[in-house]
Amino acid sequence: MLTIARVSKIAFLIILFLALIYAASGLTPFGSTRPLGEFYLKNAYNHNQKTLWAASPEVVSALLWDYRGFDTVLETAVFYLGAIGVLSLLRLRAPVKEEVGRGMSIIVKATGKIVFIFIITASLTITVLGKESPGGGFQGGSIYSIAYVLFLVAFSRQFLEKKVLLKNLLAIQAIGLLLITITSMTGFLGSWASGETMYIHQNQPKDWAPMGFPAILAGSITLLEIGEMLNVAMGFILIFLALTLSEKTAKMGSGNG
Amino acid sequence: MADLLSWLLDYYPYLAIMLVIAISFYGVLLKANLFKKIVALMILTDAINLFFLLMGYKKGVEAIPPIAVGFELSDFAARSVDPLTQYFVLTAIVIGMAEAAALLTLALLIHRYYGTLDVSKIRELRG
Repeated sequence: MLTIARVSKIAFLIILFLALIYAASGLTPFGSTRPLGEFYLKNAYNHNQKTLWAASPEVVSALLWDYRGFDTVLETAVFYLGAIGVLSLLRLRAPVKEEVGRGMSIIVKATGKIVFIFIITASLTITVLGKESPGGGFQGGSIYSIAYVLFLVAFSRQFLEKKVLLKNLLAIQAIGLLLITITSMTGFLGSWASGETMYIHQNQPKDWAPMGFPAILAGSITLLEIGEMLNVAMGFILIFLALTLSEKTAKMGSGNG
Repeated sequence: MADLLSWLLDYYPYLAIMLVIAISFYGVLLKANLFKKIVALMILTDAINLFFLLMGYKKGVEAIPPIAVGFELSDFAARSVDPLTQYFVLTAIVIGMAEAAALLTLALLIHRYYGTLDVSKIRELRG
């Protein structure tokens, strides 16, 4: 049936689509990189000129944790606050009493245990090798949390919540954030202790600031990736646990935290 | 006709992404259900991320990922895709996830208190 409301909705969609195509017409790819991107490509792993390099062959990791590292540190803090926000909105401070679910069949449980180890290994590999392969803290952390979602589905929510207490998750997340903060503050502490110039969140030595992390393992980048991985993994598990709480028990248990 | 065909072959990813963006805009603005609005918002975020990735792609050369192992530096800079757009997307994904979690929690609470997610039926929210 063609009512006025429906026709106007379809017209809205078509006009929006055409306007978006017009807006994107200047942003199609061309033969060369934009000058800013080319600067990072040329300097991130340049052995001949080590005053501007980040010692990381993976340019995205170098951008994320060296050139624009401060952005990422504060963005990690935003993610931490997001997880705390979910918990405090649902008032999930104390563990709630809930019937124990039976989970799925024993075949799924046994296979799940084996696959769990594989997923954890993969996530740790992706995190630690983030300096030379596509990957890093974000990706490793998300994959890590998926292993726990597997447990949540195969066993039950109650099983997972007994294994990983919410306050422990929050504590480990805080440890990750602390690791990132300490690593980025090392520059400040180093300059204070030795009298040399070193900037906050500095990774490699510069001409005018001769102190820095060792270039092996890409300096501070690997440490920061591990902290980020802890933060993201624990945050995701927390969010999944908080959002899968059944409505019945949530109504019983809310407000006593 | 042949021109149009080659143009479509060159730019069909853009058309697809813009269509997804338009439809998800429609969902965010005109759907009555809060949950559908949130899902549309998440799809909108992902479509814009995809558009960013596509913007960094390099045309005319055999593009490689931005990992400087096994290439001469000048050759690498000429062939690698733009790392800057990938960096923006990487941060946007995690923030989008935190945002989605917070919005879903709020929708859950609204459903718990009002018994519905229909924005026109949540009368107590009217000013």
